[in-house]
Amino acid sequence: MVVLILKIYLLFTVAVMVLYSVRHYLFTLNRLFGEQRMYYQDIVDSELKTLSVLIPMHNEEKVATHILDLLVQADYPADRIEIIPINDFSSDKTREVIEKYAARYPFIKPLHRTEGERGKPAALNAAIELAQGEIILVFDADYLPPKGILKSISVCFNDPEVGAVMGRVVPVNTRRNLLTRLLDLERTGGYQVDQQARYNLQLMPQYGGTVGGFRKREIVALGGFDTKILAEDTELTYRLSINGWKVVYANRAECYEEVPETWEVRARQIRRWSRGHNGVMFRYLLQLLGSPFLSLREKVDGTFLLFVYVVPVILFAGLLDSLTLFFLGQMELFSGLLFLIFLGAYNNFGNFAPFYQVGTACLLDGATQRILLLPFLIFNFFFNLWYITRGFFDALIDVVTWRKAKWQKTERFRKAGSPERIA
Amino acid sequence: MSATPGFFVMQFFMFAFPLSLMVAILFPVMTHALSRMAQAVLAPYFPPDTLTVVQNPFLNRTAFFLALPSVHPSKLFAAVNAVVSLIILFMLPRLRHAKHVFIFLVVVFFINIVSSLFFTFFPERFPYQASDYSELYIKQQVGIWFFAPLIMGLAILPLPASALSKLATLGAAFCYSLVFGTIRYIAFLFILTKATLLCMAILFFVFGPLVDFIYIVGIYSVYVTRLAKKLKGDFTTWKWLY
Amino acid sequence: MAEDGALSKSRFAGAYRMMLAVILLLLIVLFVLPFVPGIWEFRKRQDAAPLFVSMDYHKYPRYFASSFRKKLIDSLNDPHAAEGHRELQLSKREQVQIIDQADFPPGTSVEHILYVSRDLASGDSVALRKEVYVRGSARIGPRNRLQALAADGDISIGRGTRFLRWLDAEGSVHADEACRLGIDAACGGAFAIGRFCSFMRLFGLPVQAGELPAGDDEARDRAGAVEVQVPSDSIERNPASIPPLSLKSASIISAESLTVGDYSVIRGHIKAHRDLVLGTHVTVTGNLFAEGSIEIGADSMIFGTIFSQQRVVIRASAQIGTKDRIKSVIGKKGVVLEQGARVYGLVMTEGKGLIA
Repeated sequence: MVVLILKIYLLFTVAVMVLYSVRHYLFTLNRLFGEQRMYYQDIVDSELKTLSVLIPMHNEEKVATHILDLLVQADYPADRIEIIPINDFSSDKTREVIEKYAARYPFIKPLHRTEGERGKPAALNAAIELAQGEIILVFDADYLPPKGILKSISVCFNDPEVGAVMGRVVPVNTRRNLLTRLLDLERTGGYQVDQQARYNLQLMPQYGGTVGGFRKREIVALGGFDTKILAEDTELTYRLSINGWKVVYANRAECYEEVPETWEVRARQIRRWSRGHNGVMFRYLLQLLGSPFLSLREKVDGTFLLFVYVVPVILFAGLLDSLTLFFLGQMELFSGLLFLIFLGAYNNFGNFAPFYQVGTACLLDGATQRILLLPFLIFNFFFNLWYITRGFFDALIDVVTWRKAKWQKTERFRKAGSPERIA
Repeated sequence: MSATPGFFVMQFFMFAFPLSLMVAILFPVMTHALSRMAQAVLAPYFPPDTLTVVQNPFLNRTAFFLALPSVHPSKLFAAVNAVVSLIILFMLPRLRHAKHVFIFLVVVFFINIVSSLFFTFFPERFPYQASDYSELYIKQQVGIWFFAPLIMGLAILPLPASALSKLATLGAAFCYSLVFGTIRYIAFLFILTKATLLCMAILFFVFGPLVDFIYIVGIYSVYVTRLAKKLKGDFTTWKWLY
Repeated sequence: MAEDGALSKSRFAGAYRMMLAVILLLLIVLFVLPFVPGIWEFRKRQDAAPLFVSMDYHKYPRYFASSFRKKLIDSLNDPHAAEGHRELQLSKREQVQIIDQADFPPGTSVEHILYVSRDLASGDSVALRKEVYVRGSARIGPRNRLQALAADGDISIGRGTRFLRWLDAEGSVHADEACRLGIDAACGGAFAIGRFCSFMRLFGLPVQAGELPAGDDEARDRAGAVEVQVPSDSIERNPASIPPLSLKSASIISAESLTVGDYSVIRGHIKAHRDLVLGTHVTVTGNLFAEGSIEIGADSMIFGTIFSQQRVVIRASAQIGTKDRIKSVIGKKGVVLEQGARVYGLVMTEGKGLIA
């Protein structure tokens, strides 16, 4: 009986790997052959929406000036924008930096938080209460927004069904080391192919919590961000979607970001993502399936998306399972199929793209030599498997014990002074 | 040079699928050849007539593999192996600068510990002799030879490139797979029979199909890089602007 | 086959050891080989720079001409330069002819960039194969062929003229029938376009299919002094139908196709997941979005933007936007403007735009 269960589980693991590979493959084919759905960036409109740009900052003295310098030069009328840097319990000179800008620019309205709940979701909620804009845009403090991005992102809200938008995140510190180059490949595949294909196919592109925005009225009506969830961005995606709003993806709204430069920081980041995403999965799976506003294919893909951080756990268990079957002498029938389990070897899980998706994305970007680094993504396999699995169990414990997650910020690497030299 | 869905499907059934079909039909011949080659190379290292090419049913056909004598590790050796692996496992977290490698090594040493403990406490229950591994390997290799052209085909055939270059790349990947599978078979059999049966699990899991994906992705990356250089700046290839 | 124990004594022992050593070495090589190109790139860093993102780029409809004017003027260093030929560095080295006033007889062909200090006129079948910048007004004859034209005054275009890239006027543009207006055609004033003209992007205040009505800007704008109510925030989903003479104060979202009956007034936005058809004399205060095609009935008044993933057809005398509300009409696969249709702002397609 036990052996039978083990065998069934192994087949199940293979099936999951194949299904996710097929899903990613369909996205790749869509980008190569399919109908490309227009985004709204070409819309010219003299009646621009009012914007509130929120920048959560916790000890961001190294990078705060960079993003503020860029935002004050943004191509958006000063009388229709306010910038709210949220100084969230900073212990460094973040407050002083922000106040200097607020003194020069009347549309910069800082929010200094020294009491109440900590963390990004709480900070955003506090800022949203004060925000006057119809549309809320969020940038993480280490981002480098180009001049035209505010218009590119906010223009989509002319569509009455759009609830949130996500732009494209582009790593800027790619030259640092192997890790940053590999993360650049992952991001490329994830945005240029995966997100864009989900937009083309009218599935569920994900709001990523930065380089994006949402309607203020709707987020307030839905009760703001849930501070118990680490992945407030994923949570917003699902909360909006199940209530009839669409999340759209703006491929040409590109913004530089900093990716982790050490494996330790990356490990913490990915474990947090897994914990947060799986927390959303536990909470929203049934609501997703029961939503009257979503089509069947949105529900199917939404389910796939919810489980992306469960797949490594399934695979991890599958590998242990196959090891067990091996030692029980039961690998006879399955040795031929074992190959398919390793379809997941090149990042079929998390929000990361498999190799054919990354290769296609690099091709579309006009990138060349960096594609040669693809084999190195194998280093991510066991690494991601381990930390995503740990994040899953963190989320499981959160659910079972009603434990509240403590917000953790990704460490910054940029030095104070000039932003990362670009190109 | 523009790719269309029709071309892609046509090329898939003309290039990739026939390779897999060939494996499905000819694997008895292929495994026989592989076994004979292994026999020829390994023969000098074994007593006469100890290496024989045998056959077993597989997928309603016959798969050939090399039967050869095993060397079981002693309990002492297995126990020492387990202890050393455990020590290394606890010391690995000190590897602060190579965290991605550390996880991989944890997996390797974990499997090694399980295997060592098995041979320490239940050596008689270890389900495989070297010949059993040989058979498992052959079956696994047939699976790899079957799926590799399909996966490579699915990856490169939709791209906007000449049919000839795609065919050449598929062929190169398939040849690499054949050569690599053969070399690995011979080397692993030698290691298992001359060193120890203890590392069978590691060889099967860690250096098995996972490694095949590395060269598939490697060949794919070289191909796409060359294609990218060729296409760079050629916007007419793409039907849309973004 | 030699005995195992006798291997060392065999005269082929060395060869066999070598063969196995080669096999083991080959195994290592084949393991490592897929990483070698990546190691090479990692060390050489030929493609390590981040993806280029232009930090200064922002979209505006008259980008091409604006960019060209600036480059040319900066290169000339003297906007009142004397007539003659010069070689300038623009995107590459280019021959530029500076002339005071141009009047090209029929059949003329010009192979270099032109800078005209005052006005330009051309006869029948003239070919201006490089960019032209006219500081005054330009009167282009019939069946001309131009690469690109920027004018600080007005532009009139004769029948059957073809632009390969773009045209732009600070003033107004008038195009006769059957012209091909290139990738981008824009002006700061009114843009009147004759029948059977084709385009990809147009920008004007307004863009008018056919002749402009008499009178000034105020008189032309059908919206006149109408006070436009802000589109409602409430949403109505999947109405069964919107019959003629309906009045709705809500935005409407339909999962299927939607038809809005004649003389209806919608104080909100409309989004359809398939086709959207508006009858005649319909008024919508908000935007129209559709995954399918959009058809705007004759004499309708739309105060918002129109955006379709398929085709947009604006029937006779419908108006989009007003002189104070610049909007867009975007149809991914095509846009058709019937005679009298008017758009204040941008008209754009990735397919084919046509004046019917």
